[in-house]
Amino acid sequence: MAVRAQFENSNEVGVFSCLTNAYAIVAVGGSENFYSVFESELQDVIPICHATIAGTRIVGRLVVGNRKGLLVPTTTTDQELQHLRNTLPDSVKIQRIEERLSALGNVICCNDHVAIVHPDLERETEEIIADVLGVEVFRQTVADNVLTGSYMALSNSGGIVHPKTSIRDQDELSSLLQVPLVAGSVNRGSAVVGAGMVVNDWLAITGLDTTATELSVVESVFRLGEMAPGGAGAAGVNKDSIVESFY
Amino acid sequence: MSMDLDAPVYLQQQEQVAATILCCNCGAPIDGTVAAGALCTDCIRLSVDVTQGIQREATLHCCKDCERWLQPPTSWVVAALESKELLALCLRRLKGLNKVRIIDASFIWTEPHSRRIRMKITIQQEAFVGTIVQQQFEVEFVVASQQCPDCQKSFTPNTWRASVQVRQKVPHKRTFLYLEQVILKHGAHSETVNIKEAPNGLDFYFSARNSAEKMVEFLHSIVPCTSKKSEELISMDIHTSSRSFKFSFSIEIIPICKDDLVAMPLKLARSLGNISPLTLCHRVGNSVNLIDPQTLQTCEVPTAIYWRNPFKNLADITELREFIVMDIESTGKSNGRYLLSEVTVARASDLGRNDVTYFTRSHLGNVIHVGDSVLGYHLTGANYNNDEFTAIEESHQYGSRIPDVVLVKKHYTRSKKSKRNWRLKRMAREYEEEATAPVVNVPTTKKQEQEQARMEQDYEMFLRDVEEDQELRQTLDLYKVRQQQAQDHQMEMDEEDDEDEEDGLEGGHAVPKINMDDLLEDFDELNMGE
Amino acid sequence: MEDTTRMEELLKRPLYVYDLPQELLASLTAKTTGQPVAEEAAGPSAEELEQAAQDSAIATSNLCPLCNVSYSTVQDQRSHVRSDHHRYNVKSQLRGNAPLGELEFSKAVGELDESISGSESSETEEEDGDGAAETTLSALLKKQAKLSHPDEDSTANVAGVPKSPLLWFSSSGLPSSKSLGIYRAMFSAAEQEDPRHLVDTIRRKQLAPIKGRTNNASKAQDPAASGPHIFMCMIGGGHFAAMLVSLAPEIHRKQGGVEDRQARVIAHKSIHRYTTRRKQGGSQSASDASRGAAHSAGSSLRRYNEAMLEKEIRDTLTEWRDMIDSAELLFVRATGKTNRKILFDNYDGQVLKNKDPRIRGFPINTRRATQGELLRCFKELTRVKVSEVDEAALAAAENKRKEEEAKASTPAPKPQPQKPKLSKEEEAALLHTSQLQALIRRSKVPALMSYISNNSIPPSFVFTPTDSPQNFRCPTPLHLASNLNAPAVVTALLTKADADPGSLSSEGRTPFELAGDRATRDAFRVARHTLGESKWDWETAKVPAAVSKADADSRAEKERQAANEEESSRRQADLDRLKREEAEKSASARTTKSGGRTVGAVEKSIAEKREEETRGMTPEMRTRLERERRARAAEERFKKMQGK
Repeated sequence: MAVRAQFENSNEVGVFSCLTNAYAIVAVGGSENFYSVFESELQDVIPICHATIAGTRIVGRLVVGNRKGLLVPTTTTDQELQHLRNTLPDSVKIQRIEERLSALGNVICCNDHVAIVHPDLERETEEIIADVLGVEVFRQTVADNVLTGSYMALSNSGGIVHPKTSIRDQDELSSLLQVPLVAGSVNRGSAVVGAGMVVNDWLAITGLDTTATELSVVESVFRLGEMAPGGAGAAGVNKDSIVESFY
Repeated sequence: MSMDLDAPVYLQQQEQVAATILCCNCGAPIDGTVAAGALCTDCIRLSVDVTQGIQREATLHCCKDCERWLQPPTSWVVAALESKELLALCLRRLKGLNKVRIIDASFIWTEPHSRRIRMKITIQQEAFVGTIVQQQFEVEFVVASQQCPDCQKSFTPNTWRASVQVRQKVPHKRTFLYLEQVILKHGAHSETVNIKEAPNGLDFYFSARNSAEKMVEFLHSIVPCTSKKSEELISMDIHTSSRSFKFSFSIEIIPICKDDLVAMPLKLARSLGNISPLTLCHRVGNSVNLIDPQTLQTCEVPTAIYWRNPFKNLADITELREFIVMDIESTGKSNGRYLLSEVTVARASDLGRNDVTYFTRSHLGNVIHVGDSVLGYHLTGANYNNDEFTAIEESHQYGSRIPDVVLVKKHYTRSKKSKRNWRLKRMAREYEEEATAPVVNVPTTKKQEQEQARMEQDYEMFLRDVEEDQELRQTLDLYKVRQQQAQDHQMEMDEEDDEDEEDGLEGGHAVPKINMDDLLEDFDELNMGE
Repeated sequence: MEDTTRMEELLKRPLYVYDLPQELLASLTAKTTGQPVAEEAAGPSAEELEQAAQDSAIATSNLCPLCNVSYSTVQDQRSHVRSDHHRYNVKSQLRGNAPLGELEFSKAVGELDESISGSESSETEEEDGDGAAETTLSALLKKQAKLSHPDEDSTANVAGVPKSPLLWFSSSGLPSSKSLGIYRAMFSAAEQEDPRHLVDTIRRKQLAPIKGRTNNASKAQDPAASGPHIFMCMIGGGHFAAMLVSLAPEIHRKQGGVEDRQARVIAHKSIHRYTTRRKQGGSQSASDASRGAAHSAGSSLRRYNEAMLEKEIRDTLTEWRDMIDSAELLFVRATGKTNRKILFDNYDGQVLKNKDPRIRGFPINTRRATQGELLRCFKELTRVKVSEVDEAALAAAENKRKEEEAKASTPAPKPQPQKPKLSKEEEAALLHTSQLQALIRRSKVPALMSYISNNSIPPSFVFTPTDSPQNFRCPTPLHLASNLNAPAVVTALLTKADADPGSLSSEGRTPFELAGDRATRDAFRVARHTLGESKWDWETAKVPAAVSKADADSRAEKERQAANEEESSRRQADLDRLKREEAEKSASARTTKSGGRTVGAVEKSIAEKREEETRGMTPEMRTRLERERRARAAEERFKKMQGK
């Protein structure tokens, strides 16, 4: 299922939130509308954490995580780290990384198995990514752009890359990641797909400006119609709601 | 449910390799690597307006009188409607146009009286990175009228800063007519704001003090004159000590004209080469040149010396009498074009009445012959109220040598309707008094009538001078008479010629004429005529 | 044994690369320890396989478009993406350089280190393997970034890849700890290609020394000029020095028949002109380029000088063209754009070409460009470096490290952030060094002994780092103790800690030779006595004949007594003399001085009086006074002599 949302008049939901199969992190905002979108979709499924990172609200760009772990930048304060530890499930490993490129969400793009990272990332960081997130790490670019996290949205079942990615690059990345990829845009033509949306295996949240076409692309490539939390497929919660809307 | 109810469109494998993404607006498959903002070209065209922020309406200011256009902030440019210059002016008026690339601009025709100018502009701008959008739009200008400062000035009186008042205290205007011609020839009047005729002279008005001073210098170089400067404080800012003044230059021309009889103070005469004090003015440049017709001795009175001890003329040309040469005998003494001769003349009015003849010496020995009529001053029997003349009469040295008659020039008889094949230009001037205004050809009052008659006479006298005096002629610009008129009186001329011939036969000598080759074509007037 | 010592003797003399001793040459072997370590390819996880099976929409790509490398399976692709080659290409593409093909890349990096990400060769063994790879990669990238033409540099700058500047060789005639280093730059690119043939190359390159010229024979017949030679030049800061030097050494026979080999300089030239801006630094042209032309007198002077320098240098090069063209190697130091331009810019009659494979930089630090500096560089470059490394210890450390590595679950251990190049072993060695040196300095014999035994420090322990000046002189504890004149420590080290008195310092001295006083020397001799003749080769250790401790002690005692006696007698004599003088002085004082002085007043000594006089005087006045006094004394003396 793909949902549209807006964080205080901004469409870049990927900037203000982070969504994985095991938890979601949402920035503390002036109004709770954004949080309530997450809440309505994810309540009682995965924990949703209200957090700031280094006192800022751009949590989605500063952290990166998946089902197994969460990486936060070195600027994260101890209190914030403690709060995250308290809120997220114990199975999620949380690690603070000393990395020059501190906007981890911009430079790392990962699902539960693989990660595509900025080519200039330090070697230690690469190792920590592999350890904490339990992924294979590849240094690659997306459409000749080093900010893989900004220009790529990835889940276990699919991924969207920068609209200017050539077919050849898409094939290469897709083959490397072993997930289907399409080039696409969100938020009415925005190329920063990674920052414009968040996605996990059964839910995608995009900016309010996202057009129907873009949303349909998102739904199809992430197979959001078929999956449900816990891998229940189309027979899960979604089916009920669809039936509801029919009557 | 908060989800949008747009029906999901499932992707199909695209046959075309080029198409990698769907247009975010319409879902059309496009090549993402070249598309801008994930939009197809149609959507870009529909959604992007590069003309945003460019004015669609503007106002142009045009001066009604000179038809110039205001180019902000202050300059006024001449531009015809639908001209390149106007196009440039219009494009410059539009805000926001500098951010885009102008591809084309042209006028759409509008009727001039609509006071509207419409333009069609084609522009290009980069809408997204690597995507250039071209658009065409129309702009309408309203033409507002605004008087330009130059016109404003010309319509407002009393805007002068400096004035030059030229005066000569003589009863005729010949000097000013001459001055007018010289000024015209040198274009010295180009910076004047206004020229007014005042009693005994002319007033020139200028917008700047510099130009007035230039005029004063010019006058000093052509006429014998003295100048005086005065200034009037108009306003003063006590904070900055800046003031504005009106400057007046008063110029007085020596009241001695050509052919005037001059009685110099004896002392002055002595100092000027011991010349006889009773002299004739034969030339006026920027000093006065005098000649003693008895001895052909000449002298020059410098302006400065004159004003140290000014004196008036004894008699002017209005007092000339006509004499007939009865006998002439050259003495052989000559000075330049003058030849000293002993002449016996009789007054023309006495001819046939009595046989009184006068013996005198004259400088006109080259010009006059027996039987010619000449003009001269008749001193015998004249009663001059002049201190200098009295002094001469009383002096031992000169008292006995005062001639009876002083001959001045040869007299030509002219028929009344004689037409000249040349003409002079006149300066446009304002008349101080309504009385002197020649605008209305029909004189209303007697005074005006007299005034006009005197003016015409003065002018006629001046023209005769020009005809007769080659030296004078060289300093002036003479123009041919306009074609049509010339043809008109060609026939008259023929008749006249006959008359002239008769005159010539009678008088022995023809009226001097100006060679056509010396005359200038009047191009301005030719143009105007067409 | 004897052979080894003989060889070691040889090493004491500076060795010249082109004239190596025959026996050394014969036994020389290149040290190539590049056994490639197979990279652990990550095995396909069950998950991935499953995914691959289930997902048919996943595109398969079997060609890396960037590196132009094809692969058949996902695993191949993934390992390729992780390879240095791919990573290098990704980075160089971002920097706008053309990516390198596999061959080019391996040529650029791999010729030395077969796998930059794993193996340790002898050159990089101090470094952590992964760190080395990273630095190599980044260095390569940096190098790339600096050069404008990437295709050009791929061939020309292979030599510029930071490899160890030295190539190491071992000799069967030498102990395994000794290895000989020769500068890599002395070999041509082709010779460097194959490390196996290096030794042959060296053998081939040997030259017979030429006899020194007795008089200046004509140059044309000079054998040196036609023989192999190298060209060296340095340019910088307005200084230029160039030299053509023959590789064949010249033998001068000094007085006393000692043969002395010297570098044979065929031609040299050094120029200096004032071109650098005083106090601001930088050349005038650089300043002009960045700030616009200045119009001061100095600037025009410098501009002129720059132009003249360029002209003179080019003239010199043109003059030497033939020699340069035939030179084996061209060593050029020209940093900065302007300097390089002078040499390599395209001008008429250009002599040096930028792409010339013979050109290389100086692999050592160089100072201001002068003739002397060039000569020093030449000597440094052609001298064979001798390094003593305990292979066994290193090997042990290596094994230990490998074990640790195996234990760690992550593929590579993190290098130390501070000193990434130090292994544990080295750290320990450093610690031991500082501890031992402190103990020896303070002569804490028991503490030293217990430290050595507790930490099981081998008797052959050598202080690290070996290149520090102190350790250069005193590489072992025994050297240090001997140098510090600590007989107790020396005795303890020799007798209890089993230290080798025959070990040599880098200067080729035995510990005994460093001993500064007799006690220490005696300690050695006593040790020889106690340990017995057979324990060490005392002769090589230069320790003289043994004495028993008793002998030594008695002799010391005797000496002490003698010294004491002498001292006491001297003191007695002095006392007597003083007394006598005192008596004389008082007598004379009584005679000369009137009795004005109060009897009770203490007679001041002369020195005291002088001091009193000079008190409050400036030093100048004091010296003047002193001089006067001396003069008076001299007069007095003369008078006395004449009086006699």
